[in-house]
Amino acid sequence: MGFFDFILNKKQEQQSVQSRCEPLLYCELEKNLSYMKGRFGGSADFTVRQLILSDGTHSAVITMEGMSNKESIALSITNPIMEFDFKKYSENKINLIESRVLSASEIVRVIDFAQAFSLVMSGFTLFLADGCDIALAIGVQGFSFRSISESETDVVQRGSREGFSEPLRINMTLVRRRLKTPDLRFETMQIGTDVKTDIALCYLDSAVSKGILKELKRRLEAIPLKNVLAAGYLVPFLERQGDLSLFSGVGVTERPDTVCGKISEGRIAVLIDGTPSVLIVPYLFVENFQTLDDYSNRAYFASLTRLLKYIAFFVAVFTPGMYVAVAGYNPELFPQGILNKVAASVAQTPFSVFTEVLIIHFIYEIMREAGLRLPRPLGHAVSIVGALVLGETAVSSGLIGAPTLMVVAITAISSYVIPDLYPAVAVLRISFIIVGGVGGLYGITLLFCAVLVNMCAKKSFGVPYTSPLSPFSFFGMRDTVIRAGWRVLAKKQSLVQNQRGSEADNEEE
Amino acid sequence: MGSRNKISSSQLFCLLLLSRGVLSVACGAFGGNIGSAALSAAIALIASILLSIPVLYLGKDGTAELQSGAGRAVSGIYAIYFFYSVCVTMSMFTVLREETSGMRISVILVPILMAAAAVYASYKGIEAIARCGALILFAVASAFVLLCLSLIPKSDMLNLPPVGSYKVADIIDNAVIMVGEQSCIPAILFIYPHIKGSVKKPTVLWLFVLFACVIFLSLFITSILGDYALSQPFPVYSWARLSSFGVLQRLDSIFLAVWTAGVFVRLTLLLWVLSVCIRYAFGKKPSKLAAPVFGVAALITAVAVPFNTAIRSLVLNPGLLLFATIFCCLVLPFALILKRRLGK
Repeated sequence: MGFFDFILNKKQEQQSVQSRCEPLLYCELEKNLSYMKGRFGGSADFTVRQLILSDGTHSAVITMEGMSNKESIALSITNPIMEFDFKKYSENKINLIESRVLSASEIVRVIDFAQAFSLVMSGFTLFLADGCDIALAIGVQGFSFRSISESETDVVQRGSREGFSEPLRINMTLVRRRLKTPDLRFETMQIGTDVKTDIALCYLDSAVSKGILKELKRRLEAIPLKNVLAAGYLVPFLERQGDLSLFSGVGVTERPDTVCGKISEGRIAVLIDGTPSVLIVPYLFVENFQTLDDYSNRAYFASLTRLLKYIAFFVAVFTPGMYVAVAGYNPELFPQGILNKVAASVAQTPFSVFTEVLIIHFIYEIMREAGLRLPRPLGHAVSIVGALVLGETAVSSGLIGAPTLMVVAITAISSYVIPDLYPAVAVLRISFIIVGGVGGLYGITLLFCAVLVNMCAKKSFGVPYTSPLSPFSFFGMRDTVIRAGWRVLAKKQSLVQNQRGSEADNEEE
Repeated sequence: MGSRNKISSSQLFCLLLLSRGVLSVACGAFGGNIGSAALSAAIALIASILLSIPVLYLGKDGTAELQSGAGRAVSGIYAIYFFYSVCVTMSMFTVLREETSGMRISVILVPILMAAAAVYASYKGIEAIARCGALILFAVASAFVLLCLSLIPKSDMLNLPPVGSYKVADIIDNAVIMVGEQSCIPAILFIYPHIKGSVKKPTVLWLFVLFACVIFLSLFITSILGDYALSQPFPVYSWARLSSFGVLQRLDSIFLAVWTAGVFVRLTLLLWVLSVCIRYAFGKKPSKLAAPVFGVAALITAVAVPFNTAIRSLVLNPGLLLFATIFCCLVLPFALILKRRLGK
């Protein structure tokens, strides 16, 4: 363990001890209130409404501003409590309120401050009474959130228009509504040593691999992050430690129907509060080429589009590198007509083909990044600048060859066919351009081999990442390069069932 | 090194076929003669089956014998043999690239890339190598089918020499080269514990398929090139240069690319086996350094081969390779069998 690891672990240890060490609730209301106020340090959204019950007992209703529905608080908490005649009953106040006064459907008994803070910050209203060391958290959440709308990143032609939203419970409902079976399980957990984020594991009990489920829980519990603000925070911790791969063994989707399809195949979805992105494990390479539309269309058309996606992937990764290698070292591979055009273009421009392709690619990536972050009206301006100024002018001024621009354009379009793989494609493309420029076809072949070995060595929760291509499975091929008809797919075996769930199991002494 | 390790019988078959098959393509590096290769292959097949018997007989017990007592010294000898095989493979790659491609790429750059990729891949374990090998075998087979299809119109049976015209010396020379290149047979001894299922069946099938391919290719190439094949240092490459498919006039670059991928798998396998030998002989820690250390040593040797005739005659020496292969396929396994018997 290095020095920094030691310091980091020590810090995390202290933080987790601190978060675990919230005391139990006190019997005295004043002590409870002063402790809570002290912990929140006068935060503006921490609100306390003090009440005196009919028997003279002091009590308080605690909420976070904007997290609870004020109308619900008044109608289902404060009014019934204030109107109830406590003098008639001698039993414990908290029991009395829980059983006879409140009509809310979700009431949680709270015994310590850690639980109290977590629930209040999730939109619950906390009721405390003097003389009671137990509080009641009442589910009257009323925060505003984005309504259920179509996902902008996972678009389909035919299928549901519903996409996941930010609140965890809403997302759980979206899955439950589609899979009406008691086999569907949601297991909630909290992630984050400092700020607890709710997550839910979602799976079909009859289909899931118990080994993978156990391993997933182990990895989630070991996450040392302070807080989790996006799904991407968790991905590296769900991959095997030391897994240096460009490809991810964790899938991400914003579509509830995709999640339902995956968990029906035995996979596990991880829903995270505060983000519409849902993680899916295990996730294989071939799944990057599968979309919901494949299953809505006829098999022959779905197979054609599937094949096109594979071709687009190879075009997006290899075309610029191959162009550089062939133009630089093996021009005889070009048909005569194309060779003449390339040679004329190279003769007219000041840069080598290698430099040209590299420059244009970097400019393209910069423009893409700019287009992503800018507001839409400005995005159009970037497109115009890119298409007209950089494209047209660069070619007409003789700075860049037209064939090079053509290659980059084809590559760019192809890379959008498989958006899930874009990060890997972008890095690989630049790498292949460089090795194509310095090592020709040999360089490209050898880098390809290294990437292939890297992919073949990768496992997603014990499942080989390149399956069913290698190790080859004839049955798995029915939904890989081609998509078989539904009569065949209905008999589909899962690729992930009965897996042990951990690469560590395979380790040899 | 060597972790994550279980492969199926079919993966073993693919791995062996690819690892050995790529050498047949570059037989010219040893001065082989394709004209009589078909007859030589038949002899080499019988010899190879005989050579594989002791290794298959030893089976998984061989692993235990190699890790204890005098067996550790035997592992050390195997390590030297596999290092020699790595040098031979790297040298063949360098020689073929230098003498045929004539490209304007640095002499040292491509072998460096090859060594770096192979060392990296050998760290990924036999499972990853086998999976990658299966995919690359598919690519190599597809490329060869494409080349064969494009060259069928150029084939002429009249180019095949009469059977009686073969010189016995040529047949024996070719058979010596083919048997000498069988470093995959002793490698099976080290892969054995990592195989799920039968080893004997894929091994025998591999030998039959391998030599069937060699016989087919030698006849097909001779039917196209005729006597011209005899004057070519690398007749398979010369054959590939004649191919064309539609607007694509030259497919030899595709041939070189898939052949490079095949050499990569062979080198990776040999480096992995080499590190297993070092682990058996010297323990786990030294084995972690085996692949980079021997990889660099083989790289230096391979880069020197095209320029230094003394090194070339030592490394690409069919007699020496045959002796080493027979020693590792027969003498060492028999020694291990004897050790096991005496131990009982």
